[in-house]
Amino acid sequence: MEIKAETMKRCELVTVSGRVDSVTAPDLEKALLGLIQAGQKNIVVNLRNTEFISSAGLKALLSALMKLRKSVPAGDLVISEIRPELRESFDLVGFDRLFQFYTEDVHAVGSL
Amino acid sequence: MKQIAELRVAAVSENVSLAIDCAGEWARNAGFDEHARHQIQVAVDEACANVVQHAYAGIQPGEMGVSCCLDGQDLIIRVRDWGLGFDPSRTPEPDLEAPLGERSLGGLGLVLIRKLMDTAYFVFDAERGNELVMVKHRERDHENPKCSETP
Repeated sequence: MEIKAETMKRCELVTVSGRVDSVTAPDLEKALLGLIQAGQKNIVVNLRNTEFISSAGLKALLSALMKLRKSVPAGDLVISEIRPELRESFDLVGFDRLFQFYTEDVHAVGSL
Repeated sequence: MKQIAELRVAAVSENVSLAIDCAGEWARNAGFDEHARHQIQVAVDEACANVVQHAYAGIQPGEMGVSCCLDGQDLIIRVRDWGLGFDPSRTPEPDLEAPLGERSLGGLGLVLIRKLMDTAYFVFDAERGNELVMVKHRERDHENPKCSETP
């Protein structure tokens, strides 16, 4: 798994590539929590190059969103360019109620 | 006759991706489409991750077995350990409709297994090992699967 973070005017764009599973998910969570602790209020997580995400990855994203909202109630962590097969897992665990999904980064960034 | 493929490896994180790759190949050979293969791979990943995390916690490290067979239109995948097993009743079922502040972080793996596979159940046996049996039904329009039954 690779994580690339790009600081933009209103948010951090975090692009995740590869597999997010029980081995790699802690690194994703650490990266996201690091951004939140550093004061970032809005994060876009781009998953276009993420080919696989397990419950460990879902848990990492949920943990980050919970932490963000606790520290900045008006802040948000949104998902961009997720593949349909991965989106299914998000929906099955009720994450469609918690996260906003966008088909392009420009829309995701614009929403924040 | 049911074709059987089997993998038996050390129950460590590094072998989970191997199990997933094998499951994907078995599902492809059995004629499952890309969407179904992904679902099967996610379920196998969750099952193997549970074995790695829980089956040998605090005891001698051991192995995990992943096997599959095709019974008619059903792909049957078994994930086995010879350790403590995984007691699903100890994992509270998460409330998937809870608001963010009330969501629990655990239990998502079991939810995915139960929703992505057509059937999933645990079998505990001191001799044979502890198994999670998962079944995925194949749609009938697939042709010439390599993993096929013979009367």
